[in-house]
Amino acid sequence: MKSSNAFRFIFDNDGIIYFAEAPFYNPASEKKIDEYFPIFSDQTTYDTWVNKPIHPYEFEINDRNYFVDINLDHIKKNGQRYYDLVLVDKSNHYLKFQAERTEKNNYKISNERMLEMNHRLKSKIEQLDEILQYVVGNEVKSPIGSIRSTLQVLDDSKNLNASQTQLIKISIEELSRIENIISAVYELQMFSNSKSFEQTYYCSFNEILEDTKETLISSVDFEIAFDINDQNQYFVNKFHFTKILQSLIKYLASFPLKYVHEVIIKNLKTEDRTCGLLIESKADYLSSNLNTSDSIKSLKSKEQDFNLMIAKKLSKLYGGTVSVNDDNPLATSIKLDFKNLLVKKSIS
Amino acid sequence: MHEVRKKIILIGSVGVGKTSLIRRFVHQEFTDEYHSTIGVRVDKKTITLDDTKVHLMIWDLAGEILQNKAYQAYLKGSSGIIGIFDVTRPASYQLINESLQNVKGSQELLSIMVGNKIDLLDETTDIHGYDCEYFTSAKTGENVEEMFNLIAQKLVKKDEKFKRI
Repeated sequence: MKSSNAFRFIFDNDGIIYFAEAPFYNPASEKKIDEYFPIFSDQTTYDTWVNKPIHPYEFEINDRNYFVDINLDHIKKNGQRYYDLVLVDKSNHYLKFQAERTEKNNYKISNERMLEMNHRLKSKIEQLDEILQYVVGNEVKSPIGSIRSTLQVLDDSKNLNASQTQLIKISIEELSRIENIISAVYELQMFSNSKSFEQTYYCSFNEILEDTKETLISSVDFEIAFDINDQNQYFVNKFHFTKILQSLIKYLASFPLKYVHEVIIKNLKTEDRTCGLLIESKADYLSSNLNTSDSIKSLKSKEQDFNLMIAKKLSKLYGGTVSVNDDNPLATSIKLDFKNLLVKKSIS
Repeated sequence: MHEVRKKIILIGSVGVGKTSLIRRFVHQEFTDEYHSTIGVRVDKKTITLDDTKVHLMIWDLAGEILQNKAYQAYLKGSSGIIGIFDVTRPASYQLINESLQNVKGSQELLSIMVGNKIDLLDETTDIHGYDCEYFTSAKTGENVEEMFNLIAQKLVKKDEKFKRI
């Protein structure tokens, strides 16, 4: 049993040492076994460890740390029962093992901490979500609508002077604007909750445009035409892209004082562009008596925030940009640009 | 003055600070450097409570031992068990909570739960969900002495109660 890197002790039931082979053993000290090895401080448990491995066992003597495997056995001499303890010094082996295990445990610890951090962040987001739902909900929207209606009544009463009327008009416009923003945020919120990136897959612009047209048929009374020559498939959420196009078409249709009779969607082709779309509208003035160009420009801001905001926010999810060119109110165009979409080239 | 000897075992997941708590209590030392405990280590410390000298034999078991049934063998002869968890890692609380319930079910041991590493807490961490006797920091020494004294007192009281019966 004994080897050159092993220590051996023979002791009795009281822990008194009768024999020892170990460099740190001092026969003159009269120390008991537990003073060398505190693991044997409890006499009642000696028998627990007979012929049972307790390893590795770590102890410190004379400022040196040992890692050992323990073997404890009974021996009988002159009718008396003793304990035969052999400690195999495996310090070098276990030090290497300790280094490996420390590294492994460090990963485990940091992983558990990161999981906890994620968990906390997730609950924080859920809390924010609830707050946002309140902020963009009817509880906030209704009072704004009431204030706007009240101001409208005041404005209609004609008992105000010019500056008061002007102030009320500005206030009504601002409130309409806030209402639109709230509606847009609310729609985005609901939208992002119901449709996630998990539903993203490869699809072509033609599929997206077909869907866009189909879902818009009942709400617009103008033609939607495509001029698409792009057979590539893009890794996008079709629902998101359909929503972007719908919002932009609605944006074009919502200009006051003019009548849109056609929207054409083309794909843009340039060397540096991964993909892009150009949406053009053709319109006529509703009344030839109006100074329509200026009137449209002055009214558009309060009517269109909602749809443009949705389109811009959703495009941003894909690193896209939306640029509106409304220099000519009768031929407003929108450029939709995505530079980093994942693309699966068509076979042809 | 009479003397008693008590075996206490510290159990807990890896890296919760069992060894550091013992080092802080026994040697008044602390190091930020982490070395995983390999197997078993036993330290001794004697404290005096009123007229009783309590020789504490404090067993430090590697966190991995907790994950298999082998650690039940180390409980033999124990009077008390201290379940340690890291307050920044709820997973370590769940593990020790379940293990301690199992131990309580199988052995008549006095046990306490301790949340360690409170020095790492920030304002976003919620510790109210932890059901434990003490929150400690081996790094700063906060509540370490108190925690070991508490279990020693409980063990001595348990002995006195037993003697009266």
